[in-house]
Amino acid sequence: MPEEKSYETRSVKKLETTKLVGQYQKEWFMSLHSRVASGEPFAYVQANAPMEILRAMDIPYVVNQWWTAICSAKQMGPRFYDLLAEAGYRNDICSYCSMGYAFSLDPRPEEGPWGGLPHPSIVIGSETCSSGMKIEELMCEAFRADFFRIQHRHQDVFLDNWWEKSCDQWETLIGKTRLDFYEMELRLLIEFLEKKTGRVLDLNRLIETLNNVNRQEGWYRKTRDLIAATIPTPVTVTDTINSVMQAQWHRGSKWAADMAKNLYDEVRDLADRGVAAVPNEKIRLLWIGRGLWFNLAFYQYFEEKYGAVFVWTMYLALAADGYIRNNFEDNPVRAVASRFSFLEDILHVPPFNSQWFVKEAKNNSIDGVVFLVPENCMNNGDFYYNIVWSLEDAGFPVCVLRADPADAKKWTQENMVAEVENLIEDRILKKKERQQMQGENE
Amino acid sequence: MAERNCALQSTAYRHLRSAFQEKHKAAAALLKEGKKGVWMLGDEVPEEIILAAGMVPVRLWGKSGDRPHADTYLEASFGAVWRGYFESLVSEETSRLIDHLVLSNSSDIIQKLYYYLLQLKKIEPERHLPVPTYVDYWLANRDFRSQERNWKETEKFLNQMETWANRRISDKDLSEAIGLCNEHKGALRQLSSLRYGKKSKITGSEALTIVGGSFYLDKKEAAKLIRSLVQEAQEWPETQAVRCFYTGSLQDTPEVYLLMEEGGLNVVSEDKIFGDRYMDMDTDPSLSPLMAVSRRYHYRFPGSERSFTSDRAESLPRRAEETGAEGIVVFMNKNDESYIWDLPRQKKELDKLGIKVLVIENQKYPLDDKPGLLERFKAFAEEVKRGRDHA
Repeated sequence: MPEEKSYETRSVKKLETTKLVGQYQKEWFMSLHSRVASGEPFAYVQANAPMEILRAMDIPYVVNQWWTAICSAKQMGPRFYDLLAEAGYRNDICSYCSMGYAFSLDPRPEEGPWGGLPHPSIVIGSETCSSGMKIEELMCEAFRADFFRIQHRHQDVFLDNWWEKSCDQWETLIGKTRLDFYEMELRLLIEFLEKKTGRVLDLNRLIETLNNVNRQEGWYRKTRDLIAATIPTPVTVTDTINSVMQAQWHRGSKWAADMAKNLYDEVRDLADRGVAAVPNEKIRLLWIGRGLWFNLAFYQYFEEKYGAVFVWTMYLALAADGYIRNNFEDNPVRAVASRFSFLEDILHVPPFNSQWFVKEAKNNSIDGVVFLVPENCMNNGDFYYNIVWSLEDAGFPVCVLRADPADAKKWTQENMVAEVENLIEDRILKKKERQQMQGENE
Repeated sequence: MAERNCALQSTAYRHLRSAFQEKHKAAAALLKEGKKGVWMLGDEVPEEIILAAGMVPVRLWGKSGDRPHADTYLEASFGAVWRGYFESLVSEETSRLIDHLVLSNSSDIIQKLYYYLLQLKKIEPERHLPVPTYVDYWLANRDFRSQERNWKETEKFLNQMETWANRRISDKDLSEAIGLCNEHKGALRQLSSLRYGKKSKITGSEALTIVGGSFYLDKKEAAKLIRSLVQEAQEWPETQAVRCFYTGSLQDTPEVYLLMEEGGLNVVSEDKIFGDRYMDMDTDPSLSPLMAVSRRYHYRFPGSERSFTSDRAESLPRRAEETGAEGIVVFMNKNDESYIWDLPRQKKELDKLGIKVLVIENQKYPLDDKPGLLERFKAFAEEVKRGRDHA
């Protein structure tokens, strides 16, 4: 049973698109059961996986981070993590990556969200972390699925301002050696999938999928830019996180592209009508790190008291800057490889992450940054010192929350609220007062 | 158990121990007369190629004591060992010695350190930091694509070393370096053979000291000292302690092994670089030199951080049995705990062999509860002994 909390964990969502995608997601998961029961292949993958290939082959898939977010939002994390402990594992580490494996141990999987997850027939491993790759293997075995492991190569090209090159100069951005390598890996994956499923990757379908991706992410780009330019913001992250991510997991489909346009239209309409998500908006906050799925209400906690609004998370911005690939028609697999190889680097490798966060903070007129650093993730290493230093150096005060983004049991609401309130009161408001006094003196 | 007199009375042991305990001094001696040192972080740096280029491979050591830079720059996800290495790279005392650094893909944490160093050089240009390069072997699989990749990676590394050394490396250079490294490893294997089984004559802490000390000496000299020590050790008394295989966080000082010995346990083998994993196989001189080097790093005993649970469940119990271990100690520093995902599966195999397992988690640096740890080691030794009596 989901755990009850003494504080509100459910956020208030206002957009129609958010409701639509939520409804679609539920129906999609329900239909997944019948598809799998009728013998269709079903893949379980990581967030950076080359989903465009699966989409073009019409192989349904669930993303590990997607499933974690759902289980976490349904307050079912503790139940699954306890299953890990019963099987002899630790239940206090790797929470973000182990949810799928934990679920595979459940003797009553039908009690999981929306009837649980059907057993995948394919697992595509792409974790770089020492724990993550083991978890992928264990889960694959528990589900008795076929396993394809994508190899990795380290980044060796470090160009500044990656977002200026990712759409049109992706070959230069990634570098030939690395791109050759990942293109080959994806070609091996395609062979594997064709052999295992009996389905063929249709080139035309892949091109169509990539065009859909570009269309979808193009709308996200416009939405991100619109939110950045509109003060007070017409929409907060509680709406954008859900509407973007649920459609992102269906990336490459016409439906997802349409939902991205819906979102833009809705935000555009609010902006045009001058509707503010938080009418007393005084402070604009940027959230770095994984979404707080089990407590999305936290993002709204500071609105009434301080007029402090979370306007930015990586989810919309990454969609806007990280996925579009133009000029791919000569070699669509290479274009997918360029996206696959670079996505994790954007978030975890300096200076790609720090430069991007600073750019986004500037463009979104951010007053302060809340940075969630997971303490129980052995793969956590984004050079947070460099991120904090870069943001502070650019004039953006940062507060670091050390917490588990997936396991509600470990969240201490009062401490986390206090940290953010300190940021707001001690740094942001004081800075604003100083600026105001300077303005008056001048 | 403290260090044994039999070891301390050995000239060869004292020489190796001195190099181990005074690494700074030993490394400076290796680099005398302007020899270029190439420092290594990670288990899979092909030192044969560094030697073949006429440079000196030096294994980076972790800084003990306070680690203020690590505390400032690194996330909590970096366990104690990695923090020590980072501190060495950044603190003035050691960093001024280090001009060139090679990191290998032996752990994702090392890859992060590589990225961090590159960025730190940019944001703090006044700091003396080495020029790093990265050896990106794929170790989790042994299929054709992994072999081919690692072979090319070895060639790339060779080209990099030629650039750093400003000279060409011939096959002859590389073969000679392979011979030298094999001689060193062969001597260490003789030493290891004295650790295994019921008549173990070398303790784990002595072995760690010898292996570690030999890293900071000329390889020929080290091999000679080890062979001499092996002769002497034939006469050393057998240890009576419970025989253990060690896995988990790297131990680059004998502190934990000594504490285990005090608790009645003796490490007879391990899957770590300051021990048996360093010398578990030769670089095959019958192959082309480049292929031989690539294979040596690809095919060695699988380290946990780059292996699937299935490989570890198969290889570790077998190795423990081969070395005569009665127990396995899995010792993990906080956030250096990927080993836990191997455990339940490994344990099933170990149970079949009657080998018991002690799991120590969440350890900090410096050790914050030595008496508590000692009690756990003692209790484990007693448990294994009871099992012995029962059998």
